[in-house]
Amino acid sequence: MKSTHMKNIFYFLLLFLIACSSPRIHIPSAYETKAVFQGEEEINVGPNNISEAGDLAEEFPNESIINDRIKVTVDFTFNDKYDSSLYYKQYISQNKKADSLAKIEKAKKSSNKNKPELTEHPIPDGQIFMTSTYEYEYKTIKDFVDEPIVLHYNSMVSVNKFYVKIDNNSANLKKRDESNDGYMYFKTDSRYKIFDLNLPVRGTEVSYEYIEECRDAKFNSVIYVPDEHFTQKKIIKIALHDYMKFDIIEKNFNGLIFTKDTVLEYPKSGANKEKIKYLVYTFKRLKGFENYESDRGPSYSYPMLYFHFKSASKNGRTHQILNNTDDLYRWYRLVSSNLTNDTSVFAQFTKALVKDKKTDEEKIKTVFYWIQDNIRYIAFEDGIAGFRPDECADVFRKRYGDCKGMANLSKNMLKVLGFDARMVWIGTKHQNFSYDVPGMPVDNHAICAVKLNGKFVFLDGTENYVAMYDYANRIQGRKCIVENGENYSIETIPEWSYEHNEESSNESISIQDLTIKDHVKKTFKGESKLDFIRGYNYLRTENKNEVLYNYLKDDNINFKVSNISSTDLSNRDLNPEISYDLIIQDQIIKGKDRLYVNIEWDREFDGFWFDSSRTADYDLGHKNYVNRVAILTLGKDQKVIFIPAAVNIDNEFYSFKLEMTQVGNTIVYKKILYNKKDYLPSNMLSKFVEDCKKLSSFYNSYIEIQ
Amino acid sequence: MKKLFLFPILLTCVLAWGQSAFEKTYFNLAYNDTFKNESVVIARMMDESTYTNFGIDDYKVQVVFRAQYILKDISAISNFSTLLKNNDLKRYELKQIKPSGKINVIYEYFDKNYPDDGYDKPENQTEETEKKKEEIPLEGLEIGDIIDYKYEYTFTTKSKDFRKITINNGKYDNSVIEVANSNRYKYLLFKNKFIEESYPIANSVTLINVPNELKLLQKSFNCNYKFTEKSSGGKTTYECNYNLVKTFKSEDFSYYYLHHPVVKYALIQTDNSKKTNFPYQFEQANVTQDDIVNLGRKFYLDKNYLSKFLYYLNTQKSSEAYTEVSLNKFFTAFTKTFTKKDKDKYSQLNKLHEYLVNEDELNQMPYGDMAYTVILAKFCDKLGIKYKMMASLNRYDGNWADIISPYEITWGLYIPKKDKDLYINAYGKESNIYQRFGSYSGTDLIIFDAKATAIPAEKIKYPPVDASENLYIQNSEITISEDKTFEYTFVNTYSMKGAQKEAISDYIKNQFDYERLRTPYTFFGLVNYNDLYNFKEFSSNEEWYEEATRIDSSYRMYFKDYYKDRMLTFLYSEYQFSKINIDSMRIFEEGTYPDDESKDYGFKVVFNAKGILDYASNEGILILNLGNLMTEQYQLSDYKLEERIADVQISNLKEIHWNNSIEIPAGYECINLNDFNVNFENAAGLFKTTATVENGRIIFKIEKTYKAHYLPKESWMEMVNFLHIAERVYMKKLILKKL
Repeated sequence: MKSTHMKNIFYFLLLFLIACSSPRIHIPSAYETKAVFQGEEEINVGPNNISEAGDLAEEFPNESIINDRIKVTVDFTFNDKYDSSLYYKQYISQNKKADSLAKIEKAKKSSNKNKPELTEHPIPDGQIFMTSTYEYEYKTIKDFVDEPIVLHYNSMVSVNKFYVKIDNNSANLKKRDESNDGYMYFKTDSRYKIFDLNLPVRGTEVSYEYIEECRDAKFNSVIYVPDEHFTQKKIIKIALHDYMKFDIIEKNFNGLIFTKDTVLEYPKSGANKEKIKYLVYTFKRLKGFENYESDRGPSYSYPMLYFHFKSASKNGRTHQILNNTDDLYRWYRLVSSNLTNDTSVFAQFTKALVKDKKTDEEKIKTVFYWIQDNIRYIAFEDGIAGFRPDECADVFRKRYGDCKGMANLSKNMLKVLGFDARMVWIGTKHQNFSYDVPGMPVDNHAICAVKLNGKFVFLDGTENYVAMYDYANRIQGRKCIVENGENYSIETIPEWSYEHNEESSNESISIQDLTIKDHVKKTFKGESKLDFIRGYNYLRTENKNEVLYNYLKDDNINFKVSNISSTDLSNRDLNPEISYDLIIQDQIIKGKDRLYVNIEWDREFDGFWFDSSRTADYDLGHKNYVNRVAILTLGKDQKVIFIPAAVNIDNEFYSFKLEMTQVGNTIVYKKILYNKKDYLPSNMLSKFVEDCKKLSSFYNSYIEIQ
Repeated sequence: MKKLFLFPILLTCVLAWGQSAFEKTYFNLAYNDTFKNESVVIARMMDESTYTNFGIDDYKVQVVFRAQYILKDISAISNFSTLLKNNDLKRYELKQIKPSGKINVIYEYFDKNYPDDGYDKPENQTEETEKKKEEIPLEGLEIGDIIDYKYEYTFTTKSKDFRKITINNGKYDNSVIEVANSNRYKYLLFKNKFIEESYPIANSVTLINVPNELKLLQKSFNCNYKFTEKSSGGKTTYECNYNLVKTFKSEDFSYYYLHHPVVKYALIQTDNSKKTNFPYQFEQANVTQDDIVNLGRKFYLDKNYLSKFLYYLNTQKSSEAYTEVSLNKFFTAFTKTFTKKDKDKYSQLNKLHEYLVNEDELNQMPYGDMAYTVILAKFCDKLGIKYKMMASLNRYDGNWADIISPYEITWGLYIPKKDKDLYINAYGKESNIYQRFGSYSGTDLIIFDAKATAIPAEKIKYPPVDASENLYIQNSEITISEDKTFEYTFVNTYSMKGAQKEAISDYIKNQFDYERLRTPYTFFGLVNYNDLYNFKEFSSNEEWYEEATRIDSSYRMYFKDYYKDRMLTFLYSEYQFSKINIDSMRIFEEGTYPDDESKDYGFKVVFNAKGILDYASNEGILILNLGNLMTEQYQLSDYKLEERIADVQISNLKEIHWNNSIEIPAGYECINLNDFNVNFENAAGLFKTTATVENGRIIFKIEKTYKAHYLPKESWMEMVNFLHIAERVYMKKLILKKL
């Protein structure tokens, strides 16, 4: 007994000593976080604001962090060294030929540096430098917030002077440096400085700031207003210098609470001792970025300030930036002007490729399809390589490239054959920008245009299995810049109506006991064809039959598929046709005095549902068009006692027409569903859901037969 | 001019360097590609291991793997568009052979500083390091190209003098400590070589070069492939060639070891002076029961084996999180962790079992189950439990006549007990000593007294594990939600036993970050030893203790919310309803947990769901998705379903009950309720459903039992029919008609 007591005394004494010798901490060390303890000084993360954080957590159940204040101060500096004519000449002389990958790898190895250079292809400095100072103040409203601070930079944009405080104590966070190389892009100079931050106690206050410097303002032409999290107050302060001409376009500002003022202030830093005029936006209660499935792209819904940089003048000289599309084209042309476009490597090959082709159309088609099938898409976003196409000879030799590389190869292969082929810069539908306000975000894609019978035909080599003239939805209707030496023209890619994408099905249905027999003939056109043949042709040869079988039976246990026959599914010039027989169980229910027969199993848009809080448009991918005609032949003694009532919905965006009619001893089921546009606007979503319920109700309905 | 002349010679030398004579010859041989309808064919594939003497009685092993893939369609081009290169290899070569025979070198890497005893991968390798693997695009890729891919690495049989232990206890957050290893013997190669690959093979070869003191034992299954043996100059070469091997075809309910071509081989030490360092081997391919028994006894009686054991508790000094103690001291310390729950010697043994199966250091040992068995046996000696050592083979590892190496054996203890004999092994991290595993059901066990060598060994049968031992019951009370159209409230209670309980434990474990989640961590009866230091600290300081409690409650809230989210995912995967909202989630309050072996695992969840009842435009008709209430069923693709290669194998028989009681909307009657009365039974299973109406509710009961561990492939369609009937009922709809 005595011994145990002594032991306890010793034990507590030991623990006391350990406790005294330990650092002063406020949470159990089992829950210590790197952020809290990596700083030189000890940090108090005590429960100062826990109750306030708790209230906020109730108000914002989906948030873990609330920004109290974000301030972004944007300033500009004139690049005195810039000379629009000389600068690029010097740059071009130093970069005579676009480097091949092998050369880059070789240089990388020989340099033997621990940290690889951001890019081997730096973008030359622009007329105007842009400096943005970011100041963040936020608090956690939930426990165990594990959210790193991520700062993006690249060879054009640097970030520095990062400083962080946690609960008003400076902290030295561990930094990681990451790149997306080999993921979305094969080569990219995009990098991220990541500061790990784990905050275990709600109510912790964090403030941090950093400076972002961009060596060419035109690359920083968009400032998104919202942050990832709800923000109580956000200030965006933009210096207005006399030497710069630019407009600020407020995009997607509906519903924002904000003020806009101008103030005169001394700059915080820099040599300038005079007051500067600032345009100050003050936003209040900003919702965080909301990521919605299948939205049309951030530029359609996220509030942003879009800078239209027009010109800068100093010392009596005026430099055009991107005042109009002429400037944009000049930039595209400049960055491509050091391409040698040596066609000797593939000239003979190209001629041999088309030697049996008689017409120009056949020749163009052959080259276009060869590029689709043989040049793999691998993206480059590596400094100037993000804008300048790779040498056509390199793309041909490597058999891979990005959109620019493929477009440039298409153009040069066609030029070898004597065609008038051109580079084309275009913004896909993902980009909600236009040439009305020229800027770097307007175009995000490159294709090729070739003159045939006096008209341009557009060729997008990245779209595998697309037929000639059959433009992918993402570029349909888009304006584009078509090169023409010193000049250019703005053209529009043709756009088709929903009929172009028809997926039709003609079916003959009969009933045998409680089983349905169906002979189906399906045809795919436009985008429905593209989806189908692209998927099919990229399957492993040995898997094709099985995948096709499972596709036709829709993985439904009650379906049996047989007698499958099709047109040549590898021929992109044909609209594929497939015919097959289906035997279907469990679509007929036997009641007391009647049969309940359901002949709908495709059930398009069944159960379509959106979160009621969704504020972004829904991207449908393309304009769907489903056209099904199914004729159910009844037995001689069978009498129809109920046919589901027709559904007829039609508006600006979509049309649903479903009807069954009795014609003699048959029931003719016609279903036509189409989307007139390739998206649904956010204000139509609830109506669309309601209309889909009507569709579902029809799909659930039975033909009653006695 | 001279320099230019020398360059091609130099280049040839560099390219040829690193090739064995065999490799040079082999990759110049013609191959026979008869595969016409495949996207990729492996033209030649070589796996060459070369053992050379290293140090006093160790071997250095050089492994060279090289394969040539012929690309035959556009999907192959796409799949080989880029290749990932690991950075921990001695040599990596990627070439492309054009149909013309021209060779393009895509990538070559040779690490001049690669250590002789192999690449020492950092223990605390982070995800970031993983990301630094290089992605290499393949240039000029065309159909007909051959991708030639080669890598090389080395390792040795030398026991590392140190083990690396990661300490994560606050004080030593994520630090790696090296600990002397007293328990390791050396070990040699054992391999089950599955011949088939995901692409067909024109020709493939396994080559093993060894000093003459090493000998290869081998057996073949479902094929006639055999290693040939050639000796010269003190070295022996074993070579096995495989020709025209079809693509591996994956099948449901099959285990390819039993039904696909396999060559099993093991290297053994024949030099008597070195044998003591390589004790874990059999001397010949035809292994007898005596060989097995003698091996088990040898390890149990070996005083040098497990003379010390790593331990974290009680023995530690204030500055250390661990120490290494004698086995006896370890037992004494371990007994101090017993609580009231560890009331008898069996529960005490169970606690050690749970500790050992979760002891990473022990499990990293090359034949950790032997160490586990010896420790457990010696603890039984201490507790006075009578036992026998047990050698067992999982039913998918073949039978005793098939084995060539001790690595194929699972060691454990057989403990005869009045109420229920115990068959204990280190099968699962979540297991306890009372559990019986379906994958051993009916197998032959060899049991023997570890000490009394005169007592002969016996062969007994592992008891059958019936479907009822793996029982899953789901009871659902489903009622129309008040004030909401077509919405139902579900009160679901779940109860799981045996393998079902294990599966849900696994599911829960996989949902959570182990280190952060306290409750499931203690599911398995384990003390989080790494937290001990902190625990002492907090329990001594009131202020800290208060803070710890507050944090702990935050933890609980955090994980409740988190669990709710995961539970929602679970329910969506079970049911195909359009919208589910969990009203309350009571797993923590009303659950019973798998660490209590006497109870089923169970929990309750209450949620609202839409999508059970649907409108139809027919007058007075509603559609009830009654079949969906039995939750999603096993789906089989029926493409060429009759073409079965392998026999049917099921590890755990299962019995599943869904008991649903669902309210019928007032004023409606059921039209086709009889469609939901199914009574099916065959050799594969039993599927029985009953649907009746009682007091305005449909009582829909389903019983599904997987009856057979094994069916010959000729009976495969019995399995198909059994599964299909369940899937069909799942798809069935009930018509409700207004009265």
